Amino acid sequence: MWTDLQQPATGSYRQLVWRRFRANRRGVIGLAAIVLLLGVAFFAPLIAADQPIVCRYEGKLYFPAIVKTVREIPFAGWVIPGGSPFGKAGFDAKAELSDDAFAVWPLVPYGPLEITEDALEPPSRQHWLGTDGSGRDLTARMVHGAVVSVKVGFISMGIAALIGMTVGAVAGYLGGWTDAVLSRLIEVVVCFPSFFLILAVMVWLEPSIVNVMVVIGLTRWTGIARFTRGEFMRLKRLDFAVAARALGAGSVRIMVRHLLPNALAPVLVTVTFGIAHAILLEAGLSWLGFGVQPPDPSWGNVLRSAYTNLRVAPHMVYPPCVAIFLAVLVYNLVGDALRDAVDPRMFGRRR
Amino acid sequence: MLGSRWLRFSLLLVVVVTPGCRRAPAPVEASVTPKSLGEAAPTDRALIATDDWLIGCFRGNPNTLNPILNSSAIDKRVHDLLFDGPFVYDENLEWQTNDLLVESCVDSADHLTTTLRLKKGLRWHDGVPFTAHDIAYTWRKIVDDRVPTKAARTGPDQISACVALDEWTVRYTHKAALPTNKWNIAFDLIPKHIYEKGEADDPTMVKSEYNMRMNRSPVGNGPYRFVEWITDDKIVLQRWDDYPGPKGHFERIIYRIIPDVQGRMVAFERQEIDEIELTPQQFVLESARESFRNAGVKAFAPRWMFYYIVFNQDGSNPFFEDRQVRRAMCYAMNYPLMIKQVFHGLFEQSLGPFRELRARHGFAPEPFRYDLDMAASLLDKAGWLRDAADGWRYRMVDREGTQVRQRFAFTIKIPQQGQTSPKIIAILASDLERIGVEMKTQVVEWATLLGQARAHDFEATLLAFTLGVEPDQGWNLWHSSSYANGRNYGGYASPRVDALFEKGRHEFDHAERMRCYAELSKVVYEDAPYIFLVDAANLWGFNKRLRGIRLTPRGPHLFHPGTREWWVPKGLALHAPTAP
Repeated sequence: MWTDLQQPATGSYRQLVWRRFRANRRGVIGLAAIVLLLGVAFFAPLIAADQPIVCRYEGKLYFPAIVKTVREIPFAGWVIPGGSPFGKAGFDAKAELSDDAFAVWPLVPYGPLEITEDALEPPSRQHWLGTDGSGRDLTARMVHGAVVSVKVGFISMGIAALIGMTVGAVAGYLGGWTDAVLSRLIEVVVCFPSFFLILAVMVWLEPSIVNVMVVIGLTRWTGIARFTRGEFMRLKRLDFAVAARALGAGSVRIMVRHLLPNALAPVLVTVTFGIAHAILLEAGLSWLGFGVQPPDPSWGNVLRSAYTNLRVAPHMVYPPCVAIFLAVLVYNLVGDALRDAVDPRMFGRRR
Repeated sequence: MLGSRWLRFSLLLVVVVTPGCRRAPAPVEASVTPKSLGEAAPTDRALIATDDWLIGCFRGNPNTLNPILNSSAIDKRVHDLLFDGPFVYDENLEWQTNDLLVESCVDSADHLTTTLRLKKGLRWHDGVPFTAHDIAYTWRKIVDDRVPTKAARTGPDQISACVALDEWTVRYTHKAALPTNKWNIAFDLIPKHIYEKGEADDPTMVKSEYNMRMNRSPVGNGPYRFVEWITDDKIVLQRWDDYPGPKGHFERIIYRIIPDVQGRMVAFERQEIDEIELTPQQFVLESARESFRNAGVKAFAPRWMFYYIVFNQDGSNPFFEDRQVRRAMCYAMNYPLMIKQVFHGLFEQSLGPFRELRARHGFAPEPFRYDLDMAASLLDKAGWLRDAADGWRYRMVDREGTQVRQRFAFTIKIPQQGQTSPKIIAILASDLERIGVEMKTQVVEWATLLGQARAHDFEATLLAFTLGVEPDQGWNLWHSSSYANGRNYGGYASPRVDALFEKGRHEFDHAERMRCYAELSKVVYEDAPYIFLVDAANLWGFNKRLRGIRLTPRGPHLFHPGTREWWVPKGLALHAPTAP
């Protein structure tokens, strides 16, 4: 199949890249899957929770799961008025709401930490993916585990991108001694095996999802820095950069306003692959117990729990394995497609 | 094309997932420990497969094979086969003299000295005579501050002198006349002629190349001699044919090192190892599989080990100094659910230490039962009141002279890779939240966690402890003086408990002494320095050909004769080079 890439390019560079990206079916499927994953993560309290989406309690209408979803958004929680009994610690909605009370429950009416007496139950109509050794619903834990994966992927690579682009931009634009020193710094950080470096750092820090994100961000910026440096070295010699300099623009302005937007696309490719790698790293750390702390769920610690029950409850292994595999796969598909879309050498290649 | 590929992928997924969808096997009853397992070895060695090998299994490498440096049960299991000492613990964990080595052992009338006379003609594995000088030398090294003897120093440090009067006579002089002195002289031994060679270069016994080599390839005097130790792989011992006592029933004893719990199970079912310590889940669910039953049998017996959550009550946090708060925590623990879900009904709720003594002397306390209302009421009394707005509990606490509002939120540290601890704390955290207390979790690598516990760097932590037969051992856990160097990690301090420990340690009237410990046990339980969670049980699997196995409250190994009694009937050899 020939793509429309052979058509004469019209419109801006971004439009051109988007058009090429759309022509890659695997990339589009990957992107759709990422959007779905983001949706699951964002709406996790509406999909799986031990509190109803909407209910009537003591004569009043409440929206517990919706409130919980909004509270998860940074700063948005402040606009929600307090006082709802459903937001109080230890409030057991299932016990408090009578059977005939009006309540619309989420698709999965279990919280990720909700303990039931049905430990190691196989998949059933009640528990779609079964339960774990503590009787917690696996579907609920997988859904809320997605939040962790999304957060770790985006925030850690956000930190990495910030550091990597800054270091790479300064090294590439200024060149000379600055470039030599920063390039050696990059090489020193690259030399450390990242997983063991992260493990060593996590021994000093208190294990938590925030620390995992920060540590991954602080150790995974080198690839981005190298890409940015290369792009800046190339771009700074182009006419538009020379013209900006001739018009008296300062270095910071040239770097931020003129070079950075043009260097972003290849950096995005690295970031996309980085997100996939960050998800794997987090799963590995949580598997070892140094990532998300129990009883909070992450795909890594769900997999760990599945492993310990492998011979008596093999159903537990598949959900986290498949979720990690698919999440990493879709980010790689998007990364691949993005790389092809921004690389002029790929124009007109048979896909 | 793409569509057909997705279809194939989906089909593959269905095929892969479907086998996992069957129901977990139903729990089986714990009727176990067949009589054949405990069958004593015949006196006629011709009936024993003496050419067979016993293949045991460890979770990790020993720290050392030098008995006075030992710090783990794994170390101890190897030492017990390589070394013989003048004193042993029998099946009931009672102190005994080892008749193989000891001609006589006499206490002075004032209980301040003990004189031991050894038998003549004893030798080490390299043929050098075993004498009283070896005992005196070992004691000097144990109490030498330069040698990191760790656990071995507790006990021998209560001896003021240990002198070899001649080749076969040792005199121990005790610092005080105590009924516990007999335990203090029961230390493991090392050969003087081996270690004194390395003393000039390295008095620490752990730094020089020579000492390190000796600590990995020991010369002992027990029924088995050391052959090799391949790190992360195996330790090989060979029967010592010149042993003066009953000869070993196996030509070789090999300990394979398999850290992974699933790996150990697979190895057991493939009969690559002969013993396996089972988790409650493996004992109830996995041992019902045919592959397990084809390989071996399982054994169950009570064990003197309890799991507990210890609270730091040394004042470093605003929560647990208050006895009412600690008692509230005990009432918040859902013991029945924990026993059912985590321990599959095999373990019992722990009612604290020495409970048999308590019952005998009428000091039985009211056991803590799961009662969230009681827990909440105790927290109210302690001043931790629920906020109507968010449901959490708060109290005003003094911080550097200023009154601040403190929320009741603490962190519990649990060991990494523990299978049961995450489940236990999930149950407790859920119930604590219901009464307005937040408990967060922090997973810590095992050695680091122990270090932090010793440094009192925790708010709460989950550990386990194995008690011996001597109640004075509890001094290390609950006497206030053990806060600095002992295992009183949480800083529990009770003048009454201290006084009872002191009295028990100096009391020679056995009945009166036990009464002290019974009362002490009641006070400790009611003060709730811990949540006493469960009393564990011995859960083992043994290859079906093994005989002569006895399960004591400390397991099948750490007593005399322990593994030395195990045997295999003629014709059932499995690992011997000549076996089919």
